[in-house]
Amino acid sequence: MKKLVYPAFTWFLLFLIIPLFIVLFVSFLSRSEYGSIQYIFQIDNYARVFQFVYLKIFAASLKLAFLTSFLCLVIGFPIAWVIATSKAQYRPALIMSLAIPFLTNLIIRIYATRLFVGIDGPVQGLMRSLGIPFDEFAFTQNEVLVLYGMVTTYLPFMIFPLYAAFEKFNFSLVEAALDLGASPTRILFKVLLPNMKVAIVNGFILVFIPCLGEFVIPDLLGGAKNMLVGNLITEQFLKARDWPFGAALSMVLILILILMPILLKKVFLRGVPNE
Amino acid sequence: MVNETVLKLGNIRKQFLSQTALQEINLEIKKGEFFSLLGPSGCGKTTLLRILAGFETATSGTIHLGDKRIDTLTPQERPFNMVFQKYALFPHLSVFENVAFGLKIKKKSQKEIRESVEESLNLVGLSPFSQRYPETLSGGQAQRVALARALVNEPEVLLLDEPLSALDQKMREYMQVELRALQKKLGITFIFVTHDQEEAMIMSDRIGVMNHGVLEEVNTPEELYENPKSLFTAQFVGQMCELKGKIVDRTAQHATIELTQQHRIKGKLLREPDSPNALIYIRPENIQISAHIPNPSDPNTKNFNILKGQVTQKIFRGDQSEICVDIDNKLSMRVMVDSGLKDIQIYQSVFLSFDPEETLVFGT
Repeated sequence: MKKLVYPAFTWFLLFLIIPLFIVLFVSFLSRSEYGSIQYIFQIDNYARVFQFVYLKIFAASLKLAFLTSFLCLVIGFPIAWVIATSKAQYRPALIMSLAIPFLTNLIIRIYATRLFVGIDGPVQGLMRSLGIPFDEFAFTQNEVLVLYGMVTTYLPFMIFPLYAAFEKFNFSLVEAALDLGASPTRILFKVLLPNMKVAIVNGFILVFIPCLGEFVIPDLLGGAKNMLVGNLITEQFLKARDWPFGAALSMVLILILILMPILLKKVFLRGVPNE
Repeated sequence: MVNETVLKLGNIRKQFLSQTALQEINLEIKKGEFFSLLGPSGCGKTTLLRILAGFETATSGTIHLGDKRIDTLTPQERPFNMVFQKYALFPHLSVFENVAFGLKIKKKSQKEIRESVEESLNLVGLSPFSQRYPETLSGGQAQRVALARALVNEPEVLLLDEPLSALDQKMREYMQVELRALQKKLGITFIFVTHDQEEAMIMSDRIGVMNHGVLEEVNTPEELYENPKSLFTAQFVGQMCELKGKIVDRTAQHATIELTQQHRIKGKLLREPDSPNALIYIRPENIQISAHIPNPSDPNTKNFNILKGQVTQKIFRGDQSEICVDIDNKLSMRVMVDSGLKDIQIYQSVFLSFDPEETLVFGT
């Protein structure tokens, strides 16, 4: 049986472990004047990461990732609840509707969003015909639009684990709480949420990880006004041609992505078995 | 037991789309009684309990608690508590916190909560387990926590939805006795839903037998067993020996039935016949079996129905054995005898005698 693991392991080694070590190796090298890699060992790249400008970018990225994950939780929780408690015959269709966005390419979807809300798009057309005054350019590229793009893209990653947890949830606990006189708010905070903790943290991590490195959505919907870690790294490789610094940034990002789930689980899932 | 009515159900009906789950249920529950709703699965007993708890709304009908109409109240507002079939203990809370859940909602002081919780855990014998979590408890312990969690709120009526069905045989028997003793000690009205007739018999003051959404009969366990008023009760409660025959003669309360050309028996007529056909029920333990024809002058068997037959099968069932007797190759009867009686052989001719007063006749 063990032999069956070899192909997967080879894949893992060739396309994940070795590249990771290449990035790690490059992060300790230096950049030549014309942007090629010089094989001179240094750790200055890491020192640069902790400069205030870059820390600010990391902070902005973390904020966006947290905000997106939180909004996904708030929006996804009731959706997952409704799907899990809907009639069995409607459930496959409802789940499919969540997966439909994945059938289109992300860039196309983001451009579509821009057209949808942009100048002369249907949203603005409707508002104009209703006589609601608005600033045409406010709709084009801003932070709210970035958040909207992020949430709509990553919402399914939150809904699926929550849905699975709701499906397993013993709803007689809700009845037991009702029977003991609990109000709906108390049932939500004292019965539902504590029992869904594992799924909530897992969903949060699933959304948080891709969000932190996301660069396409902020670029297209935010107009590249606010630099995020993802954009910063792309720029180091594609525009600034400073591969060693880009590699160092990547390593720090990876470190955050490894530590964040561990931290979340430590804080929220203390004492929860099997997690 | 006080003879005061605590709970009154008036014409409760429940319709699920095109399906009628409950038909015109009228029922009065007395204060401090142990009342069981007994019936096969799907008979509507759990639906009725859930309507009482407020988890389902009746399509029509009223529920009164004392003089107060309560069917319009939410589950939170009803002074009832429920013990669920699969316990429904909060897995993220300790035993103590589970029991304290209802008291915290009522904004009781820390001290009061601690005292009440300890008292009710003591009552069910689980005080040493107060810091444990539900998943570390056995089924019996979990069920007792569920009981403590409900009782700590001092409900006017405790609703129990097949609470013992998930326990193993030994534990179930133990809990039946314990539950009954607890109910008598506390004097709280219990409404207990079960499909297990033995369980209902052991514990209840009165039993309501349900079938297909109809409350067939409400009576004490003894009466249900000895004088069932409905055909369903006769068939459902306890072991019965069923015979088919034709009514050939009748008085107001008794009937003579022809089973075969050679055999006629007398019995109590419990339901008016629409046709000459009748169903006859006799408890297997009320039938005496003997190798010789019973002496007609014996006062113990005077006027008894006597049938002659042939033993076809003997089934050992521990303390008793079941004997199948064929009568004129047309009818088959099952009789219970003490396993000590070894002298009955297969293919032997035997005489069966039974009291006409214990022969129940239902016209069909």
